[in-house]
Amino acid sequence: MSASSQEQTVSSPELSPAPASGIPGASLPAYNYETLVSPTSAIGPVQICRDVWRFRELLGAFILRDVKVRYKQTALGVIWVVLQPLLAGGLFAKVFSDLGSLSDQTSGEKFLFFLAGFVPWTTFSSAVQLSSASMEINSNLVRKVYFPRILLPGAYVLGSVIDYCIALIVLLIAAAAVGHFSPLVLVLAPALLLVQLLTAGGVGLVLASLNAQYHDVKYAIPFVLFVGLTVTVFLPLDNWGPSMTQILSFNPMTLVIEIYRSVLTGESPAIGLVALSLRGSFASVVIFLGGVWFFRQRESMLADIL
Amino acid sequence: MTDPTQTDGVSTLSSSATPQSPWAIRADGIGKRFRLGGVRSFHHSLRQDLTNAFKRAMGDASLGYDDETFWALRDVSFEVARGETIGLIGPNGAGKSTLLKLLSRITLPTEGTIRYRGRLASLLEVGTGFHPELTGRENVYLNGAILGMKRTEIDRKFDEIVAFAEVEKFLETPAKFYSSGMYVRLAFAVAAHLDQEILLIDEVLAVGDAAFQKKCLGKMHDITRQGRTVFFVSHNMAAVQALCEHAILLEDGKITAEGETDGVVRIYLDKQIARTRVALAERTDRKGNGKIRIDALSVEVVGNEGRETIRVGDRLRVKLDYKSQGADSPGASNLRFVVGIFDHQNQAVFRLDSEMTGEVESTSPASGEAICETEPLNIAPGPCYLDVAVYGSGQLADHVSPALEINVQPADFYPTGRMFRRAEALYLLGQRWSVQERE
Repeated sequence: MSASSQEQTVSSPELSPAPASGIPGASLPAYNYETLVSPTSAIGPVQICRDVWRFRELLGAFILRDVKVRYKQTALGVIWVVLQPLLAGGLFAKVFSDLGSLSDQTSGEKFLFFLAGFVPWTTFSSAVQLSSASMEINSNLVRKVYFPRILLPGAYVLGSVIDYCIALIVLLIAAAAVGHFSPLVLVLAPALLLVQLLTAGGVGLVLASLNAQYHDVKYAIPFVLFVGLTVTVFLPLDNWGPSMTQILSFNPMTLVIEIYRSVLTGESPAIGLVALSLRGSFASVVIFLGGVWFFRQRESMLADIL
Repeated sequence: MTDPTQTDGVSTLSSSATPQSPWAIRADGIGKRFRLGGVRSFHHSLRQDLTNAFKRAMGDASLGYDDETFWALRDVSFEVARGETIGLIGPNGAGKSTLLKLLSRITLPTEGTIRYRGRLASLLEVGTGFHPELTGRENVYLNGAILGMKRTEIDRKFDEIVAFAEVEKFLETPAKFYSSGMYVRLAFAVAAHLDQEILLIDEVLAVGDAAFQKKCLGKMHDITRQGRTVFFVSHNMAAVQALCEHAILLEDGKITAEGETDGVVRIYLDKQIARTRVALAERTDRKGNGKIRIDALSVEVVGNEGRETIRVGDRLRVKLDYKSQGADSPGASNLRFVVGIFDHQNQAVFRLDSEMTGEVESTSPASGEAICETEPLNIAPGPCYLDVAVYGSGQLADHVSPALEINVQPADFYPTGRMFRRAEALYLLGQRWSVQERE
């Protein structure tokens, strides 16, 4: 079936506010705008923004739901967000203690080095995993109710901000404890968070729409994330040859992690922070826009295939 | 079955609706095409898709999609006037759900356009989006948001919703600890307080106990009197007749009747009787050695042969017309007749088998009619599918599956007139209750 040609047009003006009335049913319904549903349509950027704006309250409700549910089902709750990078950071500081450039550093600095990698990576990785599975988890909703489907993966990605902030505080405390606290982190964090969200969003959107159709994707995601973890957290840029460094410098998560590390430990990668920042943020924007475009192409057929 | 003459005598929508009232929903020639094999055929692996794409690129045209598709809806056009309550009826698989999904924008049409004026909310299933881990209060807000309510709107109506659902005491309890009754009551209550101008409702009335169903029906009446446009889909003809001025009958993806509800419902039920007898001689999808053929299968109600519908508690009389293929054979020996009855999920429910009672004699006429009478039908209301088979001397001679669909209607099986739904219990057990004081 030619589902890719099935898109929708909503050629209506903005949603008008519901008639305010304290007495239910007393107000006459407003029929003041028209909606057109047809096989062909515009899925352009304006329409996306309009859709998301119109359903902004639902986006909020989804974020709230996901965050609440995530912690309601756990005994330790938010502590998980703190515990995970702390334990992983400590463990890997021990395991990789002889790794190349790290061998001359104190164990505290090694710990900080890995913690600075795990804090962004764990939130990135959980955002990607949750948003990839979002269509499947919410298949009942997708089959029964209309809303812009982009809200589901979007809510998981935006929900990761809360985890991120908590983990960031842990990172700052740990940095202060080791004697490497830098207020610059606080200035850079919002920008790095944005890069991370754009990347997680783009990747999550592509995987979410593919996962709805192909069950293979589910099995590939953990492996891809493992490779990403290895490349960005365990093997920083300086471990690679010059040509690989050029390629990896386009990885937005490398940008995020390298910046945290250089600000906290004072050691910059050889390629230079400016070049890295430009390439990484450029790549994150491309990934995000590509993900949105890819998702919109498939959005309309999701209810048919789930 | 789509005989156009049957719509005679039923005025069409456009002429019976108030002429000056403008339309709220308008569908123009909409059609929806699915890939054959249903939803599942989409779930093949990525490798398979890549291989097919590669083969197509290499010029293997046999993998084209056109021959693998079917139209769930085709050329459907109608108008619903503003403020009207319209019923959508039709047998299972007629395309009702597909039409609702198109109207609510869950899926998009393959052709044609739908226009509607005002905000539209669809209640295709109560409790969609309820999360078991969240409390009743949290679920009201979440469900409201999913159905398109604004937070301020929910704030304003919160007390009303909770009072309607009768769950005041359990607002801070996670929904997973709710009884199924509380769950659906709360879900219906949220849905019933929607503000949208157009509501699409699918079978929501079938929730809760009898008292709450009555309350729901009353609420539905209120909704239809608020000048809103309601599109109502149900298998419950009584509810459709009570709520809707007009109805649309959908069969095989096409509108076969529309107009005054009573007339359309009558046409629908008339066709249902036709379906309790089915000729099978033309069917080619049969198994067996063909020495004996079943030409027709019919089901009627014992003691009420003229009745149009089959209800819970009816004794059924199942008749099979059979014919031996050896034309001059004087008689057939050792015939065994089997009728399997399956529920909507294709689970075997009952089996009628002449060998179980041993009443069929070892020599039967070469052609004839096998008749089986059953005890009262103790299955919850809903569709059932019959398949039929005949064995001659232990060999499968003929097997047609499915042969016939019957729709079992609710009836006074229990003295109160209340009835289980299939989701609660598939079989019905006669029962007597008493409560005694502890010694």
